[in-house]
Amino acid sequence: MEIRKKVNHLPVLTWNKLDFNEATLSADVTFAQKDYRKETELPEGMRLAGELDRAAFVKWSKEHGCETVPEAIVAGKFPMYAPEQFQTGMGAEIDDLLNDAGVKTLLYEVDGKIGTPVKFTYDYYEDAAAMESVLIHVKAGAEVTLIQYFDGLEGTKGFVGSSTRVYLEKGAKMHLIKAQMLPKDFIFFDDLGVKQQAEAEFTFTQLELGSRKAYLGACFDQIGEASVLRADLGYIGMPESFLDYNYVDTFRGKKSVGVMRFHGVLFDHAEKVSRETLDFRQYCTDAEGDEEEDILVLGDDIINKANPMILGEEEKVSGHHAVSIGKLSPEMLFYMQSRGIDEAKAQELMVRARIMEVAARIPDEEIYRQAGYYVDRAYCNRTDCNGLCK
Amino acid sequence: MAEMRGDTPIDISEDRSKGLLNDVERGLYDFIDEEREEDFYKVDEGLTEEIVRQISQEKHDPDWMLEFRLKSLRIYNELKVPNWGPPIDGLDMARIVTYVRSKTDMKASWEELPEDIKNAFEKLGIPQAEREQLAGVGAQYDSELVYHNVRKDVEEQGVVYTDMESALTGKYADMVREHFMKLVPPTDHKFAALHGAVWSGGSFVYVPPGTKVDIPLQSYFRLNAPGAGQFEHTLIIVDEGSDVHFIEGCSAPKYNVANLHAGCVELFVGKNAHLRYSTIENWSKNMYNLNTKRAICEEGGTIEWISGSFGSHESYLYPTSVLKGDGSHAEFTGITFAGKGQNLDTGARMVHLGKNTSSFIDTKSICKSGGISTYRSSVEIRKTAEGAKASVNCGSLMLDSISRSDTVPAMDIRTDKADVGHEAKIGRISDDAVFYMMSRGISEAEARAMIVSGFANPVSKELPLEYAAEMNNLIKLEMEMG
Repeated sequence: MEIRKKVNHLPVLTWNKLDFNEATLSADVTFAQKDYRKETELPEGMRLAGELDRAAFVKWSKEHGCETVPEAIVAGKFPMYAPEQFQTGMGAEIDDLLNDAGVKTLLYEVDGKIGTPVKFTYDYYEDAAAMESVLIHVKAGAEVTLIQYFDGLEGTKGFVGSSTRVYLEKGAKMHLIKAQMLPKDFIFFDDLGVKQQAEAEFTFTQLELGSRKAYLGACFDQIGEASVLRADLGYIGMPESFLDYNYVDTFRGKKSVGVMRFHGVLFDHAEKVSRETLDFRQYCTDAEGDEEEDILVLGDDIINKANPMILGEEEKVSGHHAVSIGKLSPEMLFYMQSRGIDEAKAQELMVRARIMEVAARIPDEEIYRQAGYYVDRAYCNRTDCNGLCK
Repeated sequence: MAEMRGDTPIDISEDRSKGLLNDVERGLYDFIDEEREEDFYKVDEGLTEEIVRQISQEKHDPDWMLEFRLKSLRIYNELKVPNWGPPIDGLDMARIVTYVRSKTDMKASWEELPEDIKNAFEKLGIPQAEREQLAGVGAQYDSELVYHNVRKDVEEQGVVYTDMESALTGKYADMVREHFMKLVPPTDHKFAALHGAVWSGGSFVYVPPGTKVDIPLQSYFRLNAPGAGQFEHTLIIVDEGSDVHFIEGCSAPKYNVANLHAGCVELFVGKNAHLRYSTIENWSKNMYNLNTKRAICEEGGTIEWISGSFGSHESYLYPTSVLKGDGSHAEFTGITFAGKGQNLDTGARMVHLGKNTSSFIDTKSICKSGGISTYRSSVEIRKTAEGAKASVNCGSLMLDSISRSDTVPAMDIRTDKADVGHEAKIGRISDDAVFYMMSRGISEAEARAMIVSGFANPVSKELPLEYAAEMNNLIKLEMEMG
């Protein structure tokens, strides 16, 4: 199957020559009807409620008020927002891809307070081409932490895709964790759409350490009053790797609060394209959005593109974004060297600090440990030890 | 209740509509001087090869320029309208008159100008400004310059400040040909191609090596004819070690038909030279302002842009700085005020090519009464630009909830040896600040106007005093309660 999908659309178009307006996900793969997710016993309060084909998913979305209505034409003569059923960060063509490959959506319902994290481990122990789509419905007042961990056997290759939709009813809480540590010859995409009703809290922690190419999209729709979002992305752009992501936080409810943090490191010949948007819609009075991107660049021939946007059609809001891109500051290096730490070690410390700050938000020892190994290996590769110390 | 955000109707609750500020007409700039048919020469509406040839003939172009115009027209017909900015459906090129010229020759004395044209510039305060604080003035009325004068002492320094037509055929013809539309080629975008085809008017400035011009030069552009376009070309070459400040102002009366401004500014800043380019743009609200401005800096050169955008129905304006030489530097300080019926898409573009180059962008956007303001920018640091530093700071102030403010900044960094910082904020006037001022006897309207003026201060403090005063007047006009 030849895949060529337009994904990660910038919510507002900008100059075409900058090549920011969208990305193209392309691959040539044959999908196998094989499940690489390890068996997980669902805890009490969480159940698999069904498998939805596209028509059933559309029906479910309508019944739960998750349809995307075409928005006003604002920035140009073209619609700002591509209409999509239950909007995600990567966009409608991912749904087409899943549908064409015959992937159904697994509907999970959560209606209790689940104390321990639920972990879905995807283990690609062979060359693989697989996609999964899940819809998680967290009912009013319910709470859950879900970990999706993507791992694979070194030396294998493949194409892996994950589509996740989350619907949080009033006062529901969820911490979703996605940790991707696939071998370097994988292509990976992860598409997320979240709807938050009043007072719902959503925490999203994403760690991107593996694969040669990765496409990430996340769209947080804060519909309800006083809903809260906290999103953190940590990534290492290894040599010759490519990362393209699109995070959009849409504020609709009054007093909704959204915080997004991006911590990245780019090594030689790595390429990264980021789109980060705070979108304040009319009537989201007293909403607060804050977004920061901090990128450490540690190699030659890198391509580092960023487009952090604030869109505002409500006056009574507070929005802020900041980006910092560069090497280690001379002051920091001097401080480290005055304490006997050489430049290479200082760099490693700073890379570790960035990644482990995100990893520390993940309540799972295995993932935390593996994240540490990835930092080790990043430095081993750079000093020709071929990752033997892992 | 229905209100307008840009050209789009939106619904708004009644309680919110009560808090909206009314817009005001800006009579100072919107006065109309009827043009008598017999006093003006104009081409037919529309854009055809015949019209382009007619303009070229009228202007006594050299052969290469006619070829250039025709080539630009072909490019214009091939390029598409941009898909990313404010809608320009209301601009029908078939209805635009691309060349309107007063039958008077260019004068070097205000007294010699026809009464109606002289009155227009008197009302705008240009002759007074020239007497008091300018080294030279060019005044364009519709498609051509009608007045040009430069102070004798500045002329004696070797500074050339003349109209583009004279420059094209005079002593500096080769220099003009070498530089004309080399920074902004007609292939750049559709309206650059349009400019290449029908340009007329504008100024040529050459500052010889090691020359410091202590007081500013100014061009003022007035588009008076309804349904007309203005396509002036400004070419400034600042040679090694020189320093100059150039100011441009623009205005037009408001008509019920669309007017078009598609000017082009090309600035060449030599080694260790310094150029400050200030603009107060106050086109009328039926104007499509699709202007292109670009500067290139050689080693150690500095370009400073100061930009105030207040007028026009729709604007596409992004002054670009190409930092070619090592150690060159660019600054852009801008303010945009979008009121009722306005969709202003403004910003800046910085391209770092040389080593140890630096750029700084500081912008403020204000919108009210359904106005749409978009800050759009890019900072591009190429692989060769080791040691580059770039900083972007943009703030947006929304004065009501029927307006819209977007910030669309892009960064493209291709070297690890660069430092880039970006910060943006969007917000409203603080209730606490208004309350504090009101508790000290200031009315709410005054308090809000003062806060907006304070927000705009980083721009106004960079302008010469009289232009800062003009900018503050514009803000005050925009902020007045109905």
